[in-house]
Amino acid sequence: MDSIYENSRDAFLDTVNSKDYVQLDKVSTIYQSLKDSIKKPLKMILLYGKPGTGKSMFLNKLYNDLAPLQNIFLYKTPILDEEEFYKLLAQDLFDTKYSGGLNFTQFMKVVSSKKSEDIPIVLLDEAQLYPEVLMEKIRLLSDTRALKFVITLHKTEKEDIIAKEHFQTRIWETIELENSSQNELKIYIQKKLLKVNCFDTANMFQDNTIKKIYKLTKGNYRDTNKLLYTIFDIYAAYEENDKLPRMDKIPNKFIEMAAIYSGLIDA
Amino acid sequence: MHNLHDLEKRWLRYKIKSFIPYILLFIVTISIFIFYQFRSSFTITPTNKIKNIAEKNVSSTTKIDINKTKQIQQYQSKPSKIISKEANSTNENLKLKLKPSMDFIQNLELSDDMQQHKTTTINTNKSPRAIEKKVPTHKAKVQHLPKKVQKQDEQTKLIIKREETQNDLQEIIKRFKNNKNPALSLFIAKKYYEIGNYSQSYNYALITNELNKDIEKSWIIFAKSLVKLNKKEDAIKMLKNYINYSHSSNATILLNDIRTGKFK
Repeated sequence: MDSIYENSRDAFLDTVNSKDYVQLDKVSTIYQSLKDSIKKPLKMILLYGKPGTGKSMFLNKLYNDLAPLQNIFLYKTPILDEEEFYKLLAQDLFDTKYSGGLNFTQFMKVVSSKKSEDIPIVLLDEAQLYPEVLMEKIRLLSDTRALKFVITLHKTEKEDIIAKEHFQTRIWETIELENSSQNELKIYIQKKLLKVNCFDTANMFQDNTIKKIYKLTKGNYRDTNKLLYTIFDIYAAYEENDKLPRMDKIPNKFIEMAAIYSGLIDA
Repeated sequence: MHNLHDLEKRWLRYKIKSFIPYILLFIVTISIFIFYQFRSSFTITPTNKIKNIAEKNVSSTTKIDINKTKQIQQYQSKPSKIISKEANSTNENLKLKLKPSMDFIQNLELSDDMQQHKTTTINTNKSPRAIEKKVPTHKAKVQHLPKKVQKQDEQTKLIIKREETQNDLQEIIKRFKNNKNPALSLFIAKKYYEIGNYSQSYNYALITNELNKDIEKSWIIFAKSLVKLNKKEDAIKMLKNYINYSHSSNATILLNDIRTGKFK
């Protein structure tokens, strides 16, 4: 049987799974607005934010929630080859297999011929990795209104994505995801632990501890997951060596050790 | 699973590294504090200077005691030389730095005897009657002669008054030696000037200027004493420098008076 520390550690495994989605007030509001936007006759919806703010988790959650009700398709990894992209969409969206080549014009013909009231929704994660030419084609596809695209992008500091020409005119809805606040981070951590029934470890996160974690991660969900995974891994290691510290509070030493290990502190 | 030993070592290094700025700040603060303490203890203030001079003076008095009579004789012939030397040297550095005469300070302790000696000489010159009358009064006190009581009473009253002013002055000099208050040295300078002891008034005015260079009255006494000591040119030079420094109207008036011969 796994120890409480190992269970707590595994709760923070960095996986994109809708089951691990934590309901926070702000996040719920954003999620609801995304769902509402999908119902609207929009060509394209852009979901953007810094890495680790939960964009992929959002798409995953949206896919899982809408899949039983709607014609929705999620592409977690980008399909960089243009021909491969069209073929995959034709197969998934319209059940049409192509053994030979399929170019943009041919695919447009397929899309026009298969146009129906139930517009398929295509979710594209990590869209910043798609070549610019392909992005332009996606824009043209969304203009036909036979397909609806929801894309996620990393928000970079140097380059304002929304300002990009091909998005400026086409995007009808943009949703930005941000890092959590200190209070939200506390709720996030505790909810994660409570989900796996680790009540004792959830109680170890007092305000001071959260403050320290927030200072290190700046509320970034990915960094927080990484840090907490390492903290509980350290706990598990100490438990194995029978050097377990007190349970009521996480020592700063452990937080700092975990931050050093996960690269949040440069030591 | 983590290599805990290695991770703990890295953590320890990080902790030491994170404390270095605080340790450096602490060391810098302490060093600054020590530096200022050290500096303040070795800074020679004007009062310290005078203390040092006074200490020298005390040590020199023992020598003076040995050759007291010789020095007294020398003193009578020396004052004008001392003053002229001082006046010359002060003229060179007059603008801001004026140092008291070392010879004079050495003789400060002797001032009691000197004063008595001087007053007697002055009295012999100016009022021979006073001496004539002074001697019988002592006799009268000792012999208790009833006939001259009325006359002697009047004379003793006068003598007592003069002795009191002398005693007061000596008392003030003592107080000045203790607290180095420029107000006291100015008072002494004024008193010496009033009684016509211009070399002493010159010296005490000089000390006052050394302690506080912004006392106008002290500079004026200083200049007047120089004139009285036949150092008119030095006085004019000194006053010019002082007027340039302070723009004192009283000093300007005095300068004009000296130039025109109004003040002699």
